Amino acid sequence: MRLNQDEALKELLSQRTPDQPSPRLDESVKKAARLELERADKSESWLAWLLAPASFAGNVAASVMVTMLVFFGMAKMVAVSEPEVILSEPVLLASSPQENTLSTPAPLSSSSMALSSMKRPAYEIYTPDQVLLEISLPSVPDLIRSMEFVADSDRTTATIELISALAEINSMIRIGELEFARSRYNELRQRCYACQLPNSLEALALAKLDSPGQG
Amino acid sequence: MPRWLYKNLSDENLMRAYAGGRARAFDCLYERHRTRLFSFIRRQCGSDAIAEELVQDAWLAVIRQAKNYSPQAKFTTWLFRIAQNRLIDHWRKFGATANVVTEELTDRLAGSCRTSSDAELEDLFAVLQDLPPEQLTTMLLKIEGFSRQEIAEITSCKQETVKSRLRYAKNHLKEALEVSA
Repeated sequence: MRLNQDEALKELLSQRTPDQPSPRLDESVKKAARLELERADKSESWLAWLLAPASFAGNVAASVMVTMLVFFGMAKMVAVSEPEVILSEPVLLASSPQENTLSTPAPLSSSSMALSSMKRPAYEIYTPDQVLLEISLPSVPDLIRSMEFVADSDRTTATIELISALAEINSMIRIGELEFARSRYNELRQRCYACQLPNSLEALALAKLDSPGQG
Repeated sequence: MPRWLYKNLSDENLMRAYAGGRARAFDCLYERHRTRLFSFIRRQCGSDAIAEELVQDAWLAVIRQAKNYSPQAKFTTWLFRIAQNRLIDHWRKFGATANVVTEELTDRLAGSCRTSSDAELEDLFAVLQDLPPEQLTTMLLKIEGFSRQEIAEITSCKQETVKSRLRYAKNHLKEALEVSA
């Protein structure tokens, strides 16, 4: 048999002018899609309207709670006098650095607190959204270099996956569609097992920041 | 979001964007699959009008389920499965009509421009008429480029069933063509 059936059918079907849905169908489907969105918006706004009193009461209660917590927290901070004593000690010992390092663990803890606040890890400084908006993602070559692959084919597959996914993710981040960027990243993680990527997109960005030689 | 960016998004992300309130995302998704889906259904049912009705139903189901959409399979697999289910409902209600693949073959063979493979296509046509609808559907999905696993998901059967349907269909065609040759 000279003719491959699949090919024959494919060829045959392609020779015919492709079936096209009518403009009327196109119009009605697209219109239905828009109507569904409008309907969803309306139902959500009705729900918001119905929940508004409850939300208001909830907000008032939450505000009162927060105010009280802040008040008691402030009172506690003011009431505690120990930090003032500790803070005064380094000043006294500053003239003899050796003594300072050897005999005064308490002031060190105070200063290390200050230092730690200056060198807080990035995940404490940024919100997840800020991480994505302010820290650029690592490049594909950097990522590939940081990965270990059992086979060369895994490396090739990973490279292809990463190139397309990171281009898409970066585009999404540029226009502020962070949720899409995150979902695309999750998709990438599922598709590319060999990549062994961090759990979240934020973690990927921060991994770059925390890696040696990066700011 | 600019239109060009939608074109770069995967089907699954376009669905998410639509569920998030972006009508343009749906437009892009629809444009991407409108012809392919319509052709697939049209080739298995009797008329443009019926195909349009079934395809419209399928898209409306997609629209209604967008809010709860979670990509557990490829979007196309999901879409074709919805459409195929609509077609099966139609068959159950009105009975399966002569499939359009055979009509296309008839039209082509009736034309004046006949090529060297026409005789074989004619034989193919004769055999296709005898193919059960599920075997034809499976073959069409294969031609559309779906994997066995995807065809199994679309037609709600096991991969083994897909495999055997394809084998039966191909053997059927092969035997018939060998006999005629």
